[in-house]
Amino acid sequence: MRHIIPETLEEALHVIAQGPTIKLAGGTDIMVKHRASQGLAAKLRQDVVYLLNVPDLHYIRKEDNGLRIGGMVPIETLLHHDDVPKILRDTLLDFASPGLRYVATLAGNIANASPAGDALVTLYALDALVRLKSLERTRDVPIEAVIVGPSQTTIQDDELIESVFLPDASFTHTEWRKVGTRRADAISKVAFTGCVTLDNDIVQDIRLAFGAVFKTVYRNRSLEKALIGQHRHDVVKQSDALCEKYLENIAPIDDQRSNASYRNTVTKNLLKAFIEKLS
Amino acid sequence: MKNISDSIPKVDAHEKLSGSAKYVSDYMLEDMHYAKTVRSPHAKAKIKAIHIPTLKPGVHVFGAKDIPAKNHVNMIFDDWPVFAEETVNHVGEPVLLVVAPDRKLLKETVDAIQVEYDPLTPEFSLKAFAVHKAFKKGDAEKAFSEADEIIEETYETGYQEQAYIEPQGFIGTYEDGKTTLIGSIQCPYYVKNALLVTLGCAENEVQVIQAEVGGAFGGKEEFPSLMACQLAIAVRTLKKPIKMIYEREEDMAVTTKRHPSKTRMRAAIKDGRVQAIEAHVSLDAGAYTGLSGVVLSRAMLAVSSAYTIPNLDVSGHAYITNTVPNGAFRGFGAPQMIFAIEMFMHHIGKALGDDPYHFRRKHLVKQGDLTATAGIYRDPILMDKMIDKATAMADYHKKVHAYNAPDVYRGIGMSWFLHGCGFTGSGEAEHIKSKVRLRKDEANRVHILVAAVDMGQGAKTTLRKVVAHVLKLPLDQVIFDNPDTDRVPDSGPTVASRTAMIVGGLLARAAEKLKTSWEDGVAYTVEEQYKQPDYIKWDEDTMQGDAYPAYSWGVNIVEVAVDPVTYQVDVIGIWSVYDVGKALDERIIMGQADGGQAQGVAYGYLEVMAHKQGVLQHKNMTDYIIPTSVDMAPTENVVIDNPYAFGPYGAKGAGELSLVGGAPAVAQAIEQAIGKKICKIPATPEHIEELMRRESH
Amino acid sequence: MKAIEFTLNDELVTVDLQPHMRLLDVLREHFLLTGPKEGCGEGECGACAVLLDGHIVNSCLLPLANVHKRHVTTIEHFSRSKRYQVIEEAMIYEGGVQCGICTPGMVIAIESLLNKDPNPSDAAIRIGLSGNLCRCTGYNMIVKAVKRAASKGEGLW
Repeated sequence: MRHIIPETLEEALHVIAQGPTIKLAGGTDIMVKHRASQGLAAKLRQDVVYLLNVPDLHYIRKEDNGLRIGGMVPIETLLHHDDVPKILRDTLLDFASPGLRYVATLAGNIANASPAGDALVTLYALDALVRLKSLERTRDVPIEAVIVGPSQTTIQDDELIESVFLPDASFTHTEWRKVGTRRADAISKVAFTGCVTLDNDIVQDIRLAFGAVFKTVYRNRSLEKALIGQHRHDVVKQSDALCEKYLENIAPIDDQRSNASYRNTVTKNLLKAFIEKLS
Repeated sequence: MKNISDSIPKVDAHEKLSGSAKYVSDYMLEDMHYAKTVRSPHAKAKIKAIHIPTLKPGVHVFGAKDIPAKNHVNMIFDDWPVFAEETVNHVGEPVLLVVAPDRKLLKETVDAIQVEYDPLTPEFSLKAFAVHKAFKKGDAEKAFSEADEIIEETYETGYQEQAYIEPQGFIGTYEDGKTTLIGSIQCPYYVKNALLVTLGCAENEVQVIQAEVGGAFGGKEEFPSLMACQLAIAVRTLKKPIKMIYEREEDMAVTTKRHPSKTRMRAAIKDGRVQAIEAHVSLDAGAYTGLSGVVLSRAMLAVSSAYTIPNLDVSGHAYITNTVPNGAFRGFGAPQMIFAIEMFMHHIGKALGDDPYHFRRKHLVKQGDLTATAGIYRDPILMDKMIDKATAMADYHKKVHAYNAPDVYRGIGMSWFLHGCGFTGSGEAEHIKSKVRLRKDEANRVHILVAAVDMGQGAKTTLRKVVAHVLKLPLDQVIFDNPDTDRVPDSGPTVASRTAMIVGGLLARAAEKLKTSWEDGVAYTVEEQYKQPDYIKWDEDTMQGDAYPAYSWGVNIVEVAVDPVTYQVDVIGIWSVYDVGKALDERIIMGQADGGQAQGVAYGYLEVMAHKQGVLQHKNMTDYIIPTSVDMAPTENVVIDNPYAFGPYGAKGAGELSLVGGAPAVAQAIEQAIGKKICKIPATPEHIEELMRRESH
Repeated sequence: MKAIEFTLNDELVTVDLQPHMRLLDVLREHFLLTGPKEGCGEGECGACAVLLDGHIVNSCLLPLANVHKRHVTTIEHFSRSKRYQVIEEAMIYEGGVQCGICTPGMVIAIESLLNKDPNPSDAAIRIGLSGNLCRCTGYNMIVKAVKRAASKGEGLW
């Protein structure tokens, strides 16, 4: 088993091109998932590439139509960066705890593909594009095409998350709600990001993303699309019906943190509260 | 130091802040071996066969067959095996202990050992009881027959995990025929006595030393004895240092917790007053009885809490189930019962259409009243003053009125409670027989020789203060090293809010003795032994008389906001007034107040633990939720003086008091905020959602 | 695999250990720096906190490889600083220490917080300490200690 600490992106891409590897970012999930007992190294069964300190992946850059965030930028940096959309900063303030935020990364959060990943909820709402890079190719993939289930992604062995692109968007109103097991340092039982743009009371854009109630973050573009072009009052009138449609589609579970009934009710309440703010 | 209550810097603060304090896991010894337990995956099963692979050099396996004497952990009930022998009775029950020179080998061996089981049908419901207790006061039957109205309710509480931040651990060493165990423990002599019983060895063959203790809360009262017995067998055989530190998952899965409870209460009402209460409490003891009988008894003794109820009919059962044994946890039965009685009195007040505050207040205990067991409340009771103080601090009356309005989703709750100090009844005199010594050396330094453990509550500081104060010596002339059974007498366990009052009281008397006999430059030792005040009369069998030598008292007020969208509870403020006799150090008492309240309030709304088929679902600190700094609210706490004649400088117990009233206060606040009756804790958002849904249909 | 080098408590160290060891184990067992404690082993409790380039991190989650060429400071070294003195005095004054197992990590959290925000509000303090679980104090006395440290140590952060 090999351990590689690449110094450049180029070097990292060469290493991962040679076969399956564990691509380790901050390690905050992998080190727990593969923990051995006290005093023993983590139970990692493949070659490991440590990406956290690759300088090429540490940048935040404004591009023509949006913001590009290097895959290994710590969450802590994003929290204090003015170019990062406010809704994402709001979200990241609830991300784990201060001790994790300095080593946790967006790339790590995406690759971990937890349905309860807080950053993911807002990345879905922001139509984030994930740049997957290998020696051979670069592809920009919408986040919902990268994450397909709990711990399941479409990232190939020879690819890594080089950056995340957030297309420009300006909203009239945004909301982030984390419903955790407690008020900080918690895993979400339900999470919600809502973004809406109104122009003369007409909905121009609306995005509704839910965490921890489906196998991935849940966002339904056709339901959102149906609201575009409507007067805000008409949208408010449909709030109950809209909630019902979401409840038909999400699939929350019972677990040690909560139960399906609670998750359903709270999903409905969060959505309803968000929609009713349009009145 | 004019007034004993004036705060001084804690004597161990610097070493703890700077990271130099030595906890058991910080010991690294030459040729240190490691130990790990092989445990049952079944809730109930017969052990058919044990297959041990060919062991690598230096690896050893120990089990029931290696126990030199008795295969049980010495406790009040001797039903808890050190190693399972023929059957296992809960998931996680220890079957074998593996020792290896390194942890890799240790883990490989543990994984390679195969135990064959014949699974049996486990029992998880409360059917078979191990302990039954009952007592009566007055004539409840008559009161019920004459009642205008009878009100009945059932209250339930869940598990609570101590969640000390330092998991349990020991390191054992062997030298010149003596086995020494250094551990994270509350009761050095409980451990030593358990070793003597299990090893069947001579007194001088075992020694127990307390390492720095990283939190205990009752969790390190009886469980460490089990670990120590297992480890000592290995240490005596191998004659090598062996370390056994639980990781969090193991600690949570197998150590004792607060007993889940169900309490049925019936009240006979006449002329707007409670004339009688009939109460039955059921505790889930888990697989072995352990201390459950005592927990049950302390729960029952708290039945009328801070109220005087003329007639009582109280009974209780501790049931055996195939789950991890439950045990000591700060409050020791009282939190379950005080939740029940406080909610019940509040609910009765409401049901009668009376203002619950006024209704409760007219039942408040007064000096001279009879206790639940027909003992006498001899000492002054300042609850009237304390309630007035607390309600003023919290602006309670204004808020409770304002929050009655619909749709504000705010609530404020208040609990009144007492806590019996020290062991129940004649326990101190008959079972513990606490002994303390003060040794004066040639340099006129005075060494405190007691088995009391500082587990964060500040015993090292307060006990030194007491002795220094009596002798009028500077604090650094008084020395208190961590207990070592080779050095200190058995001053009893560090439990039951007894350390300041009982051990501190004995030390004050010893210090007086030393003062009178003081000879400069001469080394000698003085000793004191506990004597029960003559007026204390207690009958263990009928549970009649003075259950405790003294009571501490408290008032908690908790204010919450409940989010109508997510049902999350936000604790906004906590206000408390306590009577602990006399604070031996004001700041330390404030720390006990804040910390106990945090645990008590969180018990009421936040901390969830449950099992499925005997497997605990909350396995680690991610699953088992304790409050963070963001969850806890600012507090305002006041301690009033009410000196107790037999406590040092008037001090009574303080450690558990601040925990026992938190849950009913927060539950009442939530009840007001959501407008639904709460009869079960923790009142989680999931429970609130259920209540809102159930009643909206 | 090249050896991992990093600055530990102001000294450059090179270690030939498995890169996927937890930093916590390396500190405690290789360097015998036992100030960082293991409370949960999964980044929840913060007892293992150390400073990485001045920021709080949970050393139980960090693979050794991730500190390659970076600066790690443990309580043992931080406790020799003037800032520590101020924090210690404030913690003692306000009664922020009970059993002590969370305390070194808590001190690291306070340092990291004041580093970012030398004059934090109560809310910011609570958020700053939210990754460090304390079962003894209920936090209020620690929150007050941070306030006091911030005011007494003005200019130090």
